Amino acid sequence: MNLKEYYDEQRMSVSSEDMAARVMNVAQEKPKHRAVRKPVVIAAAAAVLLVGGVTAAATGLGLTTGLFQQLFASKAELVKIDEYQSVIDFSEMGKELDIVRDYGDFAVNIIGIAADDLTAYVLYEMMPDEGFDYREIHGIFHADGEPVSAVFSNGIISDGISGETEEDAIYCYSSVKFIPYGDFDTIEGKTLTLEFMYKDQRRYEDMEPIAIPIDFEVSDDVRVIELNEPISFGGHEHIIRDIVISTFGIEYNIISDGHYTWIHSDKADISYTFEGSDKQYENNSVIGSTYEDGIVHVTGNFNYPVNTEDITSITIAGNTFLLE
Amino acid sequence: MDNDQLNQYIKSYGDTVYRVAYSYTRNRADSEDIVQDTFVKLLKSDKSFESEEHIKAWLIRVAVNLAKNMVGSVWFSRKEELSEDIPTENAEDNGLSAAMAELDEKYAAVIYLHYYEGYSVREISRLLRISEPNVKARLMRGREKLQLYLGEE
Repeated sequence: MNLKEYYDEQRMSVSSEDMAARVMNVAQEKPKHRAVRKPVVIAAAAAVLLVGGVTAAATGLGLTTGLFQQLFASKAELVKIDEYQSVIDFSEMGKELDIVRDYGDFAVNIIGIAADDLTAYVLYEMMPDEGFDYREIHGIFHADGEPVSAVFSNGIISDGISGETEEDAIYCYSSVKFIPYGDFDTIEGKTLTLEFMYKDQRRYEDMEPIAIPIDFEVSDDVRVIELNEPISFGGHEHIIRDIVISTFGIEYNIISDGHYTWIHSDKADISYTFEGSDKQYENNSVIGSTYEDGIVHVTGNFNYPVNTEDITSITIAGNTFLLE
Repeated sequence: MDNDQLNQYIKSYGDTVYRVAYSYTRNRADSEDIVQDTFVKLLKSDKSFESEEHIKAWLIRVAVNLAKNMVGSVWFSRKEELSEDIPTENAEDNGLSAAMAELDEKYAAVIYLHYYEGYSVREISRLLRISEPNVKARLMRGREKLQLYLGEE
């Protein structure tokens, strides 16, 4: 048997006449209350993808209050993707997904997710309807109701690595970083939601959020390197207490003398050397800092999942730390 | 649309819609329900179609949406735990039915649309609302998985 024969054998068990009768009967029944959205078609300018920071967007989301005092200094990388190639094999790590949400103007397909304790890596693609302008929409990730990352705003990919294809689809690796607070010390078992809204927000209720449960085993590869060494930053001497590396992210902690409460750090400020790997690992787009109890925590995400034991040195703003 | 016209559309595209639905549900009764609901939507639609191909593509798109809704429902997953269509074995089958039953729905749908219906990658991209590279990736991985399942027979 070949594929053609296999499909040839797949037929309805009822005749077309009987099916037509069924259809007529159902059509004449009282309509059931089912929520079916009508696609909305907007004639707009062709999609334009821009690259830029999201500090303003993050501020607008209330991320600068309380423990969410994370200052994003992120940039998006936009590359042309000719062939879909995932940097993560979701059948090996995390979870493969196929959640398609059709919003009419555009569709979103969540392809996969992987995570460590505090960072989720989500691969999704966005497909526009013909002529739809991505600047019409704004997207945010929430974790159990808390906004954690602005992913898409003004046609700008806010976080992560992104690429466009010839048909104007966009691939996004969004790295979603959580700041632990209260009992919320891991994202395992939590639910991420990706919400889009139109800029005018008048059709907000039309945009059903996409739920992405983190119901798989998250990576527990964490390496803590105690340093307590001097580090130069912006012409000042500070003390770097430690560096914490996990599969998807890095955090380094600077002891504050009270004269500064946050450190602006760009992804170019950090580089790594890896043993036995020809991959060019680098920091991903999200670098921010928070201040708590005299310590400035600077966080960043990798552009690929890493085996933390493979990292042999880390250079932060020109200061190189050899790791044993 | 009168009964004769509806009957003609079902005769022309009923099995196509059924196979698309079956790619997702793997269940005869559910697939026939989706055929029924798809044509109910056609009957109630005031959409004007440019060609036969346009109608067919529209029907496939509706069937995919209905099938995904059904498969994603809590009701469906609970029901699946209790019963599922077991593929029948026969001497001429070569294990293909069992292999297709194993194949994830997202691969099954693109394989059907590409290899049987002859849709191009671009057309499937529009039908399923996934990007072309994603369609290519699914075709490639679907083929690999089928090969793996068949090789294990």
